[in-house]
Amino acid sequence: MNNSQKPVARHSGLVVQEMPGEVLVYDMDSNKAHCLNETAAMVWRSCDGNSSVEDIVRSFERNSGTKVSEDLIWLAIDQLSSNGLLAEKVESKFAGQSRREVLKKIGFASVVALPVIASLVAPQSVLAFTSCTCNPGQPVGCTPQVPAGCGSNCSGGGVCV
Amino acid sequence: MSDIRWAFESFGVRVCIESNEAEPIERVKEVADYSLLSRLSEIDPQLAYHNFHITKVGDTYSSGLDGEDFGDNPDLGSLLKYIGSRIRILVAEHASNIVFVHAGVVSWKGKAIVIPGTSHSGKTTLVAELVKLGAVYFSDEYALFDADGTVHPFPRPLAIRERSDPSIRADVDVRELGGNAGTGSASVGLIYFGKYRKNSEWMPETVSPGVGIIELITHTIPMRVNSEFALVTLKNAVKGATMVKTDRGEAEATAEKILHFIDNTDN
Repeated sequence: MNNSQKPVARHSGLVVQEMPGEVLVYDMDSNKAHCLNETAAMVWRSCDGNSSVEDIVRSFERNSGTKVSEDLIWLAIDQLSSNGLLAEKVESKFAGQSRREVLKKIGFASVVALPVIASLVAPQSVLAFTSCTCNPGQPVGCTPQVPAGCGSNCSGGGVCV
Repeated sequence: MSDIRWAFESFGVRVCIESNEAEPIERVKEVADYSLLSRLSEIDPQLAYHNFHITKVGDTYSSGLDGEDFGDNPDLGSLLKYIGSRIRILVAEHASNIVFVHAGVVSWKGKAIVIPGTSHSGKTTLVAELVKLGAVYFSDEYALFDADGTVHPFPRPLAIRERSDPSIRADVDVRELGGNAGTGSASVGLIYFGKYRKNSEWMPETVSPGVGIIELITHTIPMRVNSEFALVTLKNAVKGATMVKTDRGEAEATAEKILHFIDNTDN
């Protein structure tokens, strides 16, 4: 993706909750939950499909009252894209560079917080919430069902051991 | 052919159990009542959305829920134990107006302390120690949040594991620990995330509300079924709460640290 392209924030299939300094996003397609810090959230809100990266930089500077580098905005866009929060994936500007290198380069130059998106996947099955109870009728039925700490074989007493 | 049906509603979830014999139905009534702490009422089976079946074929029982097959089991007792846990999970996942989060909960000076965690994470042990120190028992399994984010008690007997064999659990009434079960609701004072790790120090780090909710989501049972309501409820639950993360050592010492921490935190 080059700077003339205009990233679009994804809206469909997402549950969004604004919080002071953070935005929570739950992706109902992937069942992933994301917490965007203020920097990532500001960039995400600016991805309206009409604004180029340069426009987003200017918008960010207006809203934050702070000069930011284009690389910082790109870092946010990269993360938004890789977490499925843009309508279409963008090509990483930092392809071939390690995340550590990128963060080091941008972090030293930045006076605003780096964009951070914390993500976790909601458990795949509600059975993950069970205790180690199992059905002896399916003696090996524990494997996909039980949380960490329970064994994989169902005892005659109905406990995963 | 299954021809005996019994149905109940619990937390807005309507469940029917059917069998070709009377005994499983009579016994499942007790199991459901125990699993849901008597918070159920009988309904017309035609109103049920979810259907368990227990069918006796020869010397064994085949069973299932909706389209899922539980397999065959010759031992009705162990099968009913399993079905009891499935009934509880089914209600927790589909409950309307309440969000079930897998967590231990006590209240201390009117505010809830919520300890999210999976099975075997030491929730019950820690809850038991908090109760021994005077906290009011809410649950060792579920935090029940209403839409405002207030926590309600679900005070089942504590399932305390034997030290020598953690797969063996005994139900312990909270009064045997010298404590009492909560009867009213409480707003959340503290949410503590952490795992037992031998010789760990209690070194709490505050987590932001957003990151805390992300952590809570991994323990939130209806997250996939009722995402929007669950997320809004969690947001309300953490308002005004302190959320901390740290590994913990032995439960007895950790319980003291938690209460000391909350007593010295403004929220």
